[in-house]
Amino acid sequence: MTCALEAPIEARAAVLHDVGQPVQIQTVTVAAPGPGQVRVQVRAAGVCHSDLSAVNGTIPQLAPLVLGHEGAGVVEAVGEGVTRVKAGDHVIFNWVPSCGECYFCTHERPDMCDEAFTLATMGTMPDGSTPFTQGDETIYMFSQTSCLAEYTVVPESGVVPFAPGVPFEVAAITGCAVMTGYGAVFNTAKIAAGRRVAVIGCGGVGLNVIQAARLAGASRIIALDRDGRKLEDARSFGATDTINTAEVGDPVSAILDLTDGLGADDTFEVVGRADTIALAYSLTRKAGQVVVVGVASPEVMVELGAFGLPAESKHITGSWYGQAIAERDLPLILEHYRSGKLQIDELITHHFSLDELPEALAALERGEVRRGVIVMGERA
Amino acid sequence: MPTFASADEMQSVLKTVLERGQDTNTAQGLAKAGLTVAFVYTDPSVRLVMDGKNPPEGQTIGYYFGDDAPTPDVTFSLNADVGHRFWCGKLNVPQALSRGQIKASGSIAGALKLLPLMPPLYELYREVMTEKGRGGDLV
Repeated sequence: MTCALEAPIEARAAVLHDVGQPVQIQTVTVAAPGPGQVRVQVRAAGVCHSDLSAVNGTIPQLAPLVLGHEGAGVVEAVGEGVTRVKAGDHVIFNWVPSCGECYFCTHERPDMCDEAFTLATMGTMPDGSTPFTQGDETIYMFSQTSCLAEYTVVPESGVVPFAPGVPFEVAAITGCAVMTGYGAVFNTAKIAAGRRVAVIGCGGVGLNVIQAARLAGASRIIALDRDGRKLEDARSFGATDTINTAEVGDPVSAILDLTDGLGADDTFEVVGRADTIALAYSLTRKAGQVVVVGVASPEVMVELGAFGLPAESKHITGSWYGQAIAERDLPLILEHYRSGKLQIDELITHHFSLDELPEALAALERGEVRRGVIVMGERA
Repeated sequence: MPTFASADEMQSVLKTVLERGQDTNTAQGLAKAGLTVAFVYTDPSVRLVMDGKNPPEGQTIGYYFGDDAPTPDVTFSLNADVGHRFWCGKLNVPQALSRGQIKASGSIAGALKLLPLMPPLYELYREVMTEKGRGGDLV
């Protein structure tokens, strides 16, 4: 049933007025959903490094904008022509709502959708609109999602329904942290059982790379981080070995020692820095696989030895949103959660209210949280 | 062959565009944002600084060619042919940044604010190129 509500509503939201400024929790007007759009009452939203990156300018975004891209909620109203969801449905946000028509969408790579990529930066939905205003001022969106708000409006392709019973906070972080890590392993690297894997960076996404590698049957999972607490977390999510890069002089030698002198079969970089990307390349064995998951600013350049490119013939690739086909992968991940194969509850170490978002961002920046979740309204 | 054979040729087009563009939303947006943006082109070598921070008397924004210019908040470095595509309104800037066709340093996010306001200058560029007999080079 289509049930379009015509009226805009007022909602509180995390507004970034300009890069580098403090995030403010303010009232915004949220438009009624237009054709093909869905208005969602957000129930839980994860606090991700990408939100921090928008705040500090690492990920260039148009401002002012409403932050948030990892969340879940209940469909409150749908616009004309919406068929996949209806009011009352529980949904996870898909922050790469693909157009379905471009080269990449028609070649099973909706994660690379041209339109979604461009609009992620330009801060609007495909029709050029944004649902948020403050007085006369347009407030842009973050990745067509902006779920650090009590309500948001997204394209129909920006939500994936899930069965009631899964806690909203679990569904929320499945939408980014879990999908990105899980997808890097299963969709991008497609690692086989028995592989020896290295993971650089053991934050929220890195832990999901680790537990997905465990699920895939990796025989050795070597976690690298410079924070001892994160390495303890890594062990509890499936790492078999840990290397503290703040203490070990040469991580490459340490990896060689753990892999019969070969290097890792597959290395995942989950930090997004030039030095750790170069390190990932060095840790990987000849003809092995390097998957860069961490997102650096466009101005960052990585230096690799030119001779080694042919001589070592490593495969280097990236993984954006875990190369997700969201409609397929998000329900599958929740199945793994229900069957106990993926630890998602355990990823959530902190709960915050929307008003506490600045504190949540600060805690994330200090490396104190696996994942912090902003809880809005009642819990499922 | 590059779109512009010489720096003078490119500079002449851009100068006319910016002279005529003082009343556009683009110029007003740059002034409102208080932004100073530099474009550093190669093949040919042209450095353009658009200054919305301290425009000269009677202008909405200042524009300078060469090194004797205000310090920019953000600098975009690109081949002049990529620049031509940009001024024609045919460059997907987020993708060009990602591909490395444009290298940026400084406040990229601040400069993005200009993109939605650019179409009037794109129109002027197309108009000026056509007036100069270069309509066939528009993309």
